[in-house]
Amino acid sequence: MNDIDELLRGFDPGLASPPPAAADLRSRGDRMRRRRRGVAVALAAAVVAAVAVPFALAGHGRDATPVGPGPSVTPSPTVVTRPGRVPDNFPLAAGWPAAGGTGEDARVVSAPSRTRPPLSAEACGRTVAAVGGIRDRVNTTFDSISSHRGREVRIYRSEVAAARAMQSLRAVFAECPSEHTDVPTPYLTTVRRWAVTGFAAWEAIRDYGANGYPGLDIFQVVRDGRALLIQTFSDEGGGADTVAAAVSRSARRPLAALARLRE
Amino acid sequence: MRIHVTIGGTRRGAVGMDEAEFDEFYASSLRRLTGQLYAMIGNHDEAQECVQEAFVRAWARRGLLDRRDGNPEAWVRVTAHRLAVSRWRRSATARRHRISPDRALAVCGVGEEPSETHVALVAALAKLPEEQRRAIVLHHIADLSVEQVARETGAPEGTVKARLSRGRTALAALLADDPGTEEVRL
Repeated sequence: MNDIDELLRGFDPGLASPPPAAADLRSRGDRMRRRRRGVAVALAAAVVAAVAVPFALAGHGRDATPVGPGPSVTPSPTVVTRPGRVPDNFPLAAGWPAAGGTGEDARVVSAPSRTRPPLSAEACGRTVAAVGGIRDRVNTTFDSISSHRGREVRIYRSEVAAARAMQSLRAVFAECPSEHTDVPTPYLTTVRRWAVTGFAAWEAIRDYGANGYPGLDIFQVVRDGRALLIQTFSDEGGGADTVAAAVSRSARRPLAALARLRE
Repeated sequence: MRIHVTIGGTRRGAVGMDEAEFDEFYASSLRRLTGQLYAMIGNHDEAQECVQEAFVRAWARRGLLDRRDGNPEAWVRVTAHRLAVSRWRRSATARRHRISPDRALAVCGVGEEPSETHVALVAALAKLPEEQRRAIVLHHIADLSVEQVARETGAPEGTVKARLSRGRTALAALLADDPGTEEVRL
């Protein structure tokens, strides 16, 4: 064993590439610090606005994140509906951070697409897109250094088909409360009602990292008649309920627009 | 050595780093921390990128990094490892959503090539369960005590001892089977 001790103690493979100057790292750290402070100010403003503007809450079952399109949401007057088709200007990316930045600060919002693969429920080796009986769908994605978001709005041929799709997606998570992968701790999944006023909705919260290595995936689905809105979120995690609430709030405009697609 | 991972909450009396102290800290520990993370995750380039990113975050939170009696090196190591796990998760997410690979995962620059012995050791470590590998790296390579390993990994000391014992036994067997490490055969 002594040889192993020596081998381990002498482990010094060097650097993989020439290291950046400390001043460069400090400069990036300063930018990060300024950005964080900017976000903190923006959040504070948002909290004030949220307190000042009441919005509809679900009246019962406060086990999930209450959110609603309700009276506080300014409807999208420019959303022109055509039966069976998602309007081209549906506010899919509304509420997301704006695109911009470069390098590791880059935030990329993809153009709405009808051909990008559908957002799918994935857990315990199962992948379900539930696109049977669909008439139209559009999705978009957001990517930054640490997070990925997706939104997809769908219109099904019938309300029954939409409800069935919603149930199929839910089953993937409901049947997978715990999943072992090659990350240090297992994924733990909670499926719960997503309290969105006036809609049928649920959300799956998947997180791992009991020992300080958090990861968080959120999958939210809301239905209004034949229309379905799916929202996904992946990031480093920590504070799942708080993050889920913020993700929910970000969807107010798409939710308001969804109500116009129900028929 | 005491470990204070106080980021996210201000510890009374903490004294942050100034530029010169940070630069010295970076210069003296980058190579060591990169080696430790490389041994944990098995990817030399990514290990260095994650360590560098952890230094960026450390500077962004410098007011909370206590240079007097805290242990900023432990904070950077924990953060770098967390970033590596996060990157793994992110690349898995990217695959799941069929999006382009993480821009931050791009490999850049050419540095030192690890020796065959190092490569063989990392390959053997990679075959150990994550918890055993991390305990061995922290205890034997980072030279932390069992108590410190327990604190950094959030596991009881007894569990750490068991992981070290099992990990060393398994590592000895793996290295004995590897022709690249004949010089350390038992």
